[in-house]
Amino acid sequence: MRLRFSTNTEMVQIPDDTLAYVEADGNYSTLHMADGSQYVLTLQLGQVEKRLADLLNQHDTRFIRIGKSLIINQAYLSFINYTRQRMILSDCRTFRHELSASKEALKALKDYIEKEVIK
Amino acid sequence: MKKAQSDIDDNEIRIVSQGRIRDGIPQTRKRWGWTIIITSIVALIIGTVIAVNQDDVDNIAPSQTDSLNESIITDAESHGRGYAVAKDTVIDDIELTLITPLNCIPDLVVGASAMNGNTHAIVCQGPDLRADNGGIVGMCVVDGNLEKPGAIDPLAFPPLQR
Repeated sequence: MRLRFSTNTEMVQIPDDTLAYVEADGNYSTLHMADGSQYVLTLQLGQVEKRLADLLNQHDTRFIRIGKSLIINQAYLSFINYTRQRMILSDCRTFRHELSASKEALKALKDYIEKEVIK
Repeated sequence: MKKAQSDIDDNEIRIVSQGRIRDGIPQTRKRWGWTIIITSIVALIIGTVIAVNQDDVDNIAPSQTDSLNESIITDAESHGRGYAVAKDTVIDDIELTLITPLNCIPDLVVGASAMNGNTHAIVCQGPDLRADNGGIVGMCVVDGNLEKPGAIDPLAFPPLQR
């Protein structure tokens, strides 16, 4: 499946499994790709999230909004330490992104993923 | 109710495709929760301290007061009602009235009002002592016993028998 984000002046179309995470930057959002490339969109993160929600199947739980600043692809989530507020997204081969979020959010993410695995 | 896309707290996560908040504890609610908990604990501590102090007032202070009152009352009552015994006598042609207070509780009164009162029970003077040898000058009464007039050393002269 391909994810397409369009504005008046631009369009980004990417394979869904290549998007590692989306980071908010004020009124802009940056798409961080698995190959290390980035796309800056003139969309707020909420708009990106809404677009993703429209595109994804309701049972597709890969993308998770974390606080006000991040949307991650949990398929690449390889490490969480919520006391240190650290999280690493990596495919364990070619890329590695270290991110930070609140303790509560990371703890909730950890709990959610653990429960999802059990299911 | 589904939250708006941008309505999320930094402490929350949300599954994008489902719009569900997975950790629905907004910071404001958390802060309120802590505020309520801390307020409750403080109130509990204050209540406990007040209750303990009240118990102290109820149990200790009154008992001390009671025991004090009881001891005074008991002592007074054990000896009966206070009174004074007046005994007229003549010593060396001098008429004296010896007044002995019994079962009376001494009370020190300082001030001129005592001089105007009519409750003087006893006024007495201590013996004059000789400067050269410390003996008693003239006659006096010690412990209800008449000392020999002009005794040089009261220890050398036993009290007179009345």
